[in-house]
Amino acid sequence: MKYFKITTALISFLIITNIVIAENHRTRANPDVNAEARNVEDRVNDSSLFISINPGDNAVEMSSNSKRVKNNTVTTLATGLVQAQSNRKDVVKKYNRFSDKQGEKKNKKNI
Amino acid sequence: MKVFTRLSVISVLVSLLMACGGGHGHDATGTVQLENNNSSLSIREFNLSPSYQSSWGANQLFEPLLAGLTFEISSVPVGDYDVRAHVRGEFSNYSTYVYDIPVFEGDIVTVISSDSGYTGSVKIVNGTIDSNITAIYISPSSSTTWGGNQVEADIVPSGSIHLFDTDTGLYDVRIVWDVGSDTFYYDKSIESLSLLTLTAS
Repeated sequence: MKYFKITTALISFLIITNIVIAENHRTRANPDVNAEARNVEDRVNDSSLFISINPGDNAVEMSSNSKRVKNNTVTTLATGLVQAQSNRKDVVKKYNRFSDKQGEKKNKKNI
Repeated sequence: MKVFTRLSVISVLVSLLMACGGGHGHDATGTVQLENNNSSLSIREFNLSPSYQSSWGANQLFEPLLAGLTFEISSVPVGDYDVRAHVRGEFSNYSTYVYDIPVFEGDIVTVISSDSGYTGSVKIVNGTIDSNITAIYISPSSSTTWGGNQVEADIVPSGSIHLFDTDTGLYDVRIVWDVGSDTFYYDKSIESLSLLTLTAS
């Protein structure tokens, strides 16, 4: 009888522990899928394959750095971009440019 | 004599009006050229906006500008301008920028768009079958804060968010779930004209 009580208590403990663990557990849809992938647009690396015009003294190189937020125009939407909408499964959205004044502090050491 | 006096007064007034800028014949302008030095993609949209304006304004192109070609806008009033070019790739959309370009009278200013100057994109997929992503933070690796949340609504299992117009560089990504602990990715490279996909679970 004594062993029965101990066994019952042990089994109950294990069941409850499993339930608690399961509640904080996420199930992967496809464990074999590669978690990271990169798609690179087709580029011609040989510059001699396309005509380049000598830009002259006033030439300015453009960059990916968008330092000023400006409103988009209707024509931008017409080029195929889709604004974010709620309740959509796959959302295409412009990246909200990073601002150091927003958000929590990173704490890389604790990870 | 009266007629002579009247004519004199009228001619003086007309002269004064012309001196005050009443004549429209000679506004100072320059020319802006966009060179598509991008190796494979056509520029779909070209915006030339005065620096003080809060909007990019209309697309200046009549048709896509093919790689290796140049598009010219003449009669641009002198002043400082911001420029944006936009391409649509197979995987995402990308932009390139330059700001505060001075256009002087009679000048020809060339802005060059090249492969390395375009933004990149990142896609985050919910790779679970039972949990929602409630928040995503994407912050440059060099920064000490996470910045603002990129998600406006929960991302459901197998759903995704595709963020374009990201400046190139190394980024940290933090994904917040409705169940369990956060997922972190560190030093992920977002590159020009490419889409980085992270399947989080």
